[in-house]
Amino acid sequence: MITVTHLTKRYGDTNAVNDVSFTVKPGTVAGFLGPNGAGKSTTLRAILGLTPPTSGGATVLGVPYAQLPNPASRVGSLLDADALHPGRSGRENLALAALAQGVGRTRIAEVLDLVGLTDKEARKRVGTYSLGMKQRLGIAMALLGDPSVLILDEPANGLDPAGIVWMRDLLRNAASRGCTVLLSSHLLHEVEQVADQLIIIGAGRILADGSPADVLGSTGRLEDTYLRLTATTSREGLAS
Amino acid sequence: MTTTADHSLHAPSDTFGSSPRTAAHASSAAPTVALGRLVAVEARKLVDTRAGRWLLIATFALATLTTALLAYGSAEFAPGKPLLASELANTAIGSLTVLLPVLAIMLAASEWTQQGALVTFTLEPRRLRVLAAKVCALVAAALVSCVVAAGLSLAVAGVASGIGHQRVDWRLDAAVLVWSAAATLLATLQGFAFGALLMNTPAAIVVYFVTPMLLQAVSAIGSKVADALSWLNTSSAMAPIAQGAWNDVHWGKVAVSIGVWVVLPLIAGSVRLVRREVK
Repeated sequence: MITVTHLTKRYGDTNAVNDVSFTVKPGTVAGFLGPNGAGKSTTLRAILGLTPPTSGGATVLGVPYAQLPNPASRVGSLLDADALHPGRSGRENLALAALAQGVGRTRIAEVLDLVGLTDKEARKRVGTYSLGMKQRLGIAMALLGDPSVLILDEPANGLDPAGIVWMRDLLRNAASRGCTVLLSSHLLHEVEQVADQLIIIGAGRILADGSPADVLGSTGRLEDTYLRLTATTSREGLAS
Repeated sequence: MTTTADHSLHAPSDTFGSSPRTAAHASSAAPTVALGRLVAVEARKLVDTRAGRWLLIATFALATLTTALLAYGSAEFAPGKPLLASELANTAIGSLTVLLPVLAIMLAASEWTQQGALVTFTLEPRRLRVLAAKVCALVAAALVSCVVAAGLSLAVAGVASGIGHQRVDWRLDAAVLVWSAAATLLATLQGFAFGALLMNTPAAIVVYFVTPMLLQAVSAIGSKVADALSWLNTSSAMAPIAQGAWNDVHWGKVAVSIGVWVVLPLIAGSVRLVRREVK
């Protein structure tokens, strides 16, 4: 369960996130959508305790992330696949995370296998990885502790079509087993197929929050609804 | 890099096991992140990157080289005198002050320069705990390095004795070696403090090496300035104590230097760390 309550984050004199509130219940895949600069990443970082909010807050599994014991094993997250030391191997990154979380070594081979990284690739330095490989490693790291919550920022970024389908199955499977999944994405067609809840944000404010039926209404098409709602807040909208 | 054309992606159901999620945490992970494990993680970070490994190799290569040069010089220019193993060990330990602080800076700052912070602070959100773990790992690494360096110097002495047929005086002056190790440890901690404060590896390296040079240059202005600045010079303050001059003023100077170069930057760095956004 993820609960965000009146979250506000101010930079200088603008509110990157402005009084944002929503709840994602267990067993739900929530798609977090919005134009670039709308405040998606800031919100996700605030949930994970990486960015201190100006006011308001967020809880995961009932408490703020920073107060969870061994938080990464309960809440798997992938915010930026590039945020890894280029001189360290993929396998070593997993080993460090496994050591910190107290997860057994066999799990490392399991998650590598799951995301489709070979042992040979895992032993290479992350600096040599393609975007897709870094993304897979990031997903592997998020899944390492067998978490019951997943918070992912554009998880399908860099994945090939087979990978995108696999990601979709992974998320649906996780939710059907009771996990709480919050993902931000720009792939509207993908989100349409996988999300039980749509949260649309624009210029720091929540523009829509509910089941696809509620949000899309009679038109039924996510792309139309999304573009209409965010028209005044996206670059294209502001330019016209 | 090659694309993932023939990667077999296993069915996602494999990862979550066969039993449905319950409210209780079902995985095999430990209940909390113990400090001991955090220290192990940070110690591992000293050696698990390409840069770190090469730096350590260079550090011990330098220790061996300086010792070998000393042994050779002693044989060439003072052939009658025996080789003093204690002097060799002291030189080896002292040579660590050149590169170990760089390793310390990297441990402190590469989370920010090389972007590991996102992973590090989602694994352990209590950032001061991570900082403390880094310090512990570094202290252990510095002490182990001193022992290794001393060992290397004794190996060099052994080679000089065996192959070079040099006479070797194997007596080790414990007090001198301990003070050398203390000086090395202090230099390493100072490097770490600079890295923690500046949160930028190259900047901290530059500041760490340039600062003593600047102080030297400023001291040359006059004796009064030099006297004032002597309160900020850790190594010159420690030297008389190492030789047995137990003067209060000397201890005072050591305390002030450590305060200014290690404690203050560490405190300021801790404040920055707790407040900083991780992007």
